[in-house]
Amino acid sequence: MTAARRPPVADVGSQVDALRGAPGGAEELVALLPESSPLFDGRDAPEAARIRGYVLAAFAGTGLPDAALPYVRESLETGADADEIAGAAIGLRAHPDPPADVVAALGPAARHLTAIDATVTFASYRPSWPYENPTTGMREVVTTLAALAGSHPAARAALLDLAGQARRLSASARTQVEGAVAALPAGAPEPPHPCCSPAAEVPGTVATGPVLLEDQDGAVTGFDEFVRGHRSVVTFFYTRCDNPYKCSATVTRLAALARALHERGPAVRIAGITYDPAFDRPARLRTYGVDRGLRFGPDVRFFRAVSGFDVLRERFALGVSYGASTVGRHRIELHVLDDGGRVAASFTRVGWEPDEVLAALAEPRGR
Amino acid sequence: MSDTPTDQDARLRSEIDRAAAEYDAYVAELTADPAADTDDHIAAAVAALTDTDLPADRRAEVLRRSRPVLVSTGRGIDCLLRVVGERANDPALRTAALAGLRAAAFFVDTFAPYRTAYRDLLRDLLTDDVAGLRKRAVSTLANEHDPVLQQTLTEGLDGAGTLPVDRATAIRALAEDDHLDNVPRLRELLGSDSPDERQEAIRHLASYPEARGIVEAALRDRDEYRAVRQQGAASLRALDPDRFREVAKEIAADAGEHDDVRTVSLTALQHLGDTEQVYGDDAFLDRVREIRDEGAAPQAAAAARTMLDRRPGR
Repeated sequence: MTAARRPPVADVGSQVDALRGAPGGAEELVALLPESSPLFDGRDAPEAARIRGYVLAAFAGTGLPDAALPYVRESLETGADADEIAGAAIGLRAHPDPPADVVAALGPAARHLTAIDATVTFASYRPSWPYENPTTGMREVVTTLAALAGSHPAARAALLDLAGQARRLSASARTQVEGAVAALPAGAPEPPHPCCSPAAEVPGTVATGPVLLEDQDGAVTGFDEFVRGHRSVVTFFYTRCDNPYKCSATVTRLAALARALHERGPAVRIAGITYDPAFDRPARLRTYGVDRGLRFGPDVRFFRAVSGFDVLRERFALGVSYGASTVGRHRIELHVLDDGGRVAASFTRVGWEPDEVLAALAEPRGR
Repeated sequence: MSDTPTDQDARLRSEIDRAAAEYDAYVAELTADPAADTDDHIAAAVAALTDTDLPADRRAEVLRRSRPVLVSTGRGIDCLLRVVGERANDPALRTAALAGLRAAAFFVDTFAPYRTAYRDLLRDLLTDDVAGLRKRAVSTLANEHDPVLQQTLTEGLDGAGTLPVDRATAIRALAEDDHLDNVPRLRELLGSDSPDERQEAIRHLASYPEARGIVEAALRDRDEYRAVRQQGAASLRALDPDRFREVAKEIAADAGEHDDVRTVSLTALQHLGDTEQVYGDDAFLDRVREIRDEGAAPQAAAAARTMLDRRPGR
């Protein structure tokens, strides 16, 4: 399940740079953000993270439209790369009035950066070391927090939280945070409407074609066979995802969801399907789930697609791209299906909590 | 007369007391103050390490003896960064300081403010004149999947830049990140004259399903070093346990194969993976009975006997 090994697409940097000051550039930049964008096809994971960060930073030249906000929030909340987080922080400053939930994502970004921060630059797409116009993820996050702290309580709170952890910050970051805190005005009211509601899109009917699955014990079943006649939760992950805020966190939450469902009675089926079927063989799937507290059973299974993964990819409009060997980039992804196998609710890109999925399962069908 | 536990304990205490006294004497001499505290010690050590008029061997001694306080304090870490970063310093001193920084990284909270500066330093070292420092920087940055390192090595291997290390080391460093397109480079490493490098190539290829045929070929290659074949077995089992089981059966049953290799195959089949399937294969068990009686392969014969003796339900 990998993209064909092909030469890199013509200069990503030039393509993005050309849009910075161009009329309609913001909308064209938004079109480059989804994992399904041709920009990501064939790109390895490190480059995919760089692309995402570089595109988000480019909004500084065009303004950040609302359509880009879910991507900014995703990169701040679950980005594991200083490039990506820095780009998101820069892009967010280009929005005239960012929603509270996106601003709040700066808090997790700052926490993650205390362990992974690095010197980055957006002076060019493929810079040489030493960098021209260097910055760091933390510097950009703090700059954005300082800019928003007067109008967004979440930014104020995150800034004060960072100040409380000053001993873990570099000297320059400490100085920057202290200066921002000293300049804090009086508190502000909570701004309105979140950008990305937890129970997100409800797409149209999604039928499935023939898809053959092998589970964590080597048992084979069809996708339709597993989900039809039962309400179901279907999520996607892969075991060698090296972003701890995505797949590992997803499966850990899935385990909590499974426990909650088990206590409530009537069976809801849970399917975790790997993006990486050639590598994630049954034993590996089992170990990954067990290590994160998942209890497998007839209604709770992990799968790899033996055939038909492309059918799943198309039918769920999966947010995943592939490099030469494995996943390049993917979004968080969970779908609630009705007993006809139709998608009733989707949680994509933004993190979900078990309670939110339980609420979606409790909704009457066909809402 | 042998040592009693009491004697050993007394001797150990004496050694500890002596080392502590030597350490105190060293700190007193370094700070010129018999009552020096830790802060005084750090200050004196930093002063000595950054004194370019002091002979290199004296500075190295200060680094060696003051290392505990240097790696566990912010001022010490800052000093070590400066010592490594100053290219005019003696290479051995810089190397020792870099080793100190690697140790300091384990003091997570204390090291946190310096992590970005440390990574910047390592990136700078990629173009250092001292080969040993370049190599250590590559190793550390490879574990971090650092993008500057990855770009440098990729460009160097493609002929578009200068490699900081030899080609084989560069390939192995990139292979630490299994999300990169490493198969073509690992194929190159597989052609090395060095069995260690071939073994490393096979080890890393265990991350790439498309390389299954390559690792199987390494396992089957009778002319290959044992360690490389062994790695082929481990990598094939990681990629495709079912295929490994079938290949291991073939090797075990092959009278033309080396005795020790057949033995390892039988042992692996007995203990690893789906033993129910192995013991359920009557045709294979018949062959194992034949192996048990093969005089020309005594190790395999012994392994076959053990396997049959431990057959479930026997």
